[in-house]
Amino acid sequence: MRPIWKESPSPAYQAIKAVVLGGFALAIVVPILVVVSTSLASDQDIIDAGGYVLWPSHPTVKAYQTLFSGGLMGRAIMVSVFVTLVGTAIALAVTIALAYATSRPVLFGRPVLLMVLFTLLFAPGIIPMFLVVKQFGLLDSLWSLILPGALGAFNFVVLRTFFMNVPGELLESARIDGASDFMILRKIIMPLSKAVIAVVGLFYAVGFWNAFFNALLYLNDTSKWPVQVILRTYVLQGKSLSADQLGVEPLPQPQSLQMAVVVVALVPIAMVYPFLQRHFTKGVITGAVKG
Amino acid sequence: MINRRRFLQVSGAAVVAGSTLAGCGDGGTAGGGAKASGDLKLPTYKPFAGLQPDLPGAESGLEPGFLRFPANATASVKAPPLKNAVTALTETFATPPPPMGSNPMWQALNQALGAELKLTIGTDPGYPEKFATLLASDSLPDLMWLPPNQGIPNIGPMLEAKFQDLTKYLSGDAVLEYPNLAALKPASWRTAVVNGKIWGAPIPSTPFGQVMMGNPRTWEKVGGLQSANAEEFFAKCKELSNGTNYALEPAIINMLHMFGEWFGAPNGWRVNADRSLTHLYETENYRAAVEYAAKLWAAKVFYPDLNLADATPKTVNGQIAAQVVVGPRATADFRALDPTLFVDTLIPFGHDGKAKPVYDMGYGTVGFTPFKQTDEGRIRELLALMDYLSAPFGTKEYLQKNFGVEGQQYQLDAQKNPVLTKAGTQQAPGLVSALTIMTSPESVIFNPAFPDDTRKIHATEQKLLEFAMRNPTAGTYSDTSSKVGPKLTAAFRDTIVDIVTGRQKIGAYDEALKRWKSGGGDKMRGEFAAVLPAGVPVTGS
Repeated sequence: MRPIWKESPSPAYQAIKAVVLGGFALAIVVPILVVVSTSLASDQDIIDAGGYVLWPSHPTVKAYQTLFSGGLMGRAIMVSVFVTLVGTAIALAVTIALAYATSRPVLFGRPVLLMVLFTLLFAPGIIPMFLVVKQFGLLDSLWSLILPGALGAFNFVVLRTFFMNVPGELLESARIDGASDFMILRKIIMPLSKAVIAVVGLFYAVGFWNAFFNALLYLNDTSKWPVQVILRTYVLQGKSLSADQLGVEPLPQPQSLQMAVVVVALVPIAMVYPFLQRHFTKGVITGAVKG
Repeated sequence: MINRRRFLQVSGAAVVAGSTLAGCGDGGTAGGGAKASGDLKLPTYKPFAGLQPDLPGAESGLEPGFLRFPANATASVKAPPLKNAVTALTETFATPPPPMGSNPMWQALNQALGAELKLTIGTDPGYPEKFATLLASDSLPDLMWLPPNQGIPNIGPMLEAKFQDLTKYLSGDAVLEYPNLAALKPASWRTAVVNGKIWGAPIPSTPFGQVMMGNPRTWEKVGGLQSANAEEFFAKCKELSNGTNYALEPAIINMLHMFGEWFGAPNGWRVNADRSLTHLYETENYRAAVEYAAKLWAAKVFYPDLNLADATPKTVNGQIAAQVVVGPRATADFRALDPTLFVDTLIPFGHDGKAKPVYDMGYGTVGFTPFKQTDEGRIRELLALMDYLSAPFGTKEYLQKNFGVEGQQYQLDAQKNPVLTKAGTQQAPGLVSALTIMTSPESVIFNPAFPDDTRKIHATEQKLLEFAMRNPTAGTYSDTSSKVGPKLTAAFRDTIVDIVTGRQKIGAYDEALKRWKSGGGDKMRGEFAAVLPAGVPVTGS
């Protein structure tokens, strides 16, 4: 008799699997579909559906036209893209360099440095951060969104642990061949760590893309606001606790417009995933099975 | 997304119980503040004489109605107020405006003001953090809007340390130098008084509080939204709820606020004959309202998804019959979705058809805007700016601030009402919202496209005023309330929602109340009672 895992599964079992997995897939796809559909819905569609629309019967791109007509959204996307690209590049450079340095036992004063870095795991308060940013003259500058977040303690720990697992013999032989530290990092460590660097890069990128709170605090010039702040004002508008208490009656944004902002904020970063997914799985399962 | 509307304040009361900070108390800890506030001479009230509303307003809070925008807007200010640029921190409740450099409306306003008005625009939520960081950084802008309900603590000491005492420029007849500020009502000014001093011009908003509105096309089947007693309302709701249609939106706390009015619950606090205070939650009336709400929930008349973000589209299409909105002027929200729909506003009724209901008025202002400490010349310049930006409805300055320049941001329609152009709709909303949250004239009723709505709302307001009750602690300040009030209220409400939705028995009410009292409720009572103004009447029950 063939072992059980070689048996072809029964049709009933197949069907159950299809239903369960299909159910999960729907649970993920339907909300996204609703967001996209609602963003394309006409006012009448929204009233007929009483809010969210599953499939617009009179599709229109009016919401997107309105969104981009003010110029605010276009600029905000540029800002977000800039902050994400430059921020991720700087953050990766800083984190990789630091992780490499602290992963090697030869570094002078390493225990002290590690203690200092340990404190980075705890977030500082809003006001101390603000004062530091102000003293560096970064207020109202896009660098205030990039530099304070350029070193994530968690990402640093992940990278450092990974680098420490690279066999010392490899690096020793490179050194005997005359390689400098920079060369070792570039030619040996980084190629070996592509997967984990991709993952950490993605963490940084998503973090920079999603960040809004720093922008609220540090940027007074609305033309420098990133997409997420705009998204927040559109979606939360008219639903705020304080507005209602005060009897302020902000004009609620049409649901289609709200969802259009969601789509605009979602698409660019979602586009990054397919390219990194290969590394992502590899990075995540690193260490699961060594073979 | 979590439905924030669901957590809205029960009443103007809760605004204070939650986190009021503007007021004439001094925290109830150091004596003298309440007395000092009593001694203060409020600015002399002198209404703007240049305009006659079509429907008159009244001292009671009734808002004047304008059927159309007054022709030939008159100027209320003699000269541009500014010579030097001014910086201000404010907040927008709309989408942020295009920045000054690419916003012709903003530039036109600067021109009219005489110098640049540089606004730092915060968003909601997030404003208290922005406020706190600016305060800590010690690089204050000239003006900083101070909201009464966002939990900014230690108002008294903060104002004394960082902001300008404006009493001598505004108290009594001194205010007459700024006619538009003199046209703000004493009730509004009271909210700008802390420690017996005036700290800024108040920002009036509608004095009315929440009301229930229903789609008349839906309610037609059961004889209309208006009901004579709670049983009749219950029966109507039951009849309207079938299949995917429900009578009430699932905003339990807001609905409870309405039921509480029918059961005679006080607005925040009840003033007893011996001048002691009883909180809303401690009254049998509110408890009865909770039981009534639980009965409605059990009868499945509430829309079942507690997380529904916005009921308005569902009310318009009839899926939900009634919802609670910020005030009687909110009929416009429904018109915006369906221009043929004018929703009905429920007038509170006695729960048994005999008892007198109450109608809870709102806070009445959105706080005030204090000035950074500076010299007299600058103070006068800033006051002139506030005077300009507080120009009454119908004046030239009001047009400039709210609509911009004719032919650019607005045009006059056939009835001579200003209507925003395409450019206007891009440039105006965020800017106007940011300006009106920090400076405002007394409110009016104005629905340019539907003048008849204005008449109806004016009539509704008069009916509501028959039952009007103001929060006795409005305009006073309790330190405990601003520190732990929001947390206590949230915890108590969680239990209430559990009781209404059947997850807990009514017995849990008493335990939650005990926790509320020991957690700070009793302390708040003491603090509010200590500064209760003598002019506040005993609550009639």
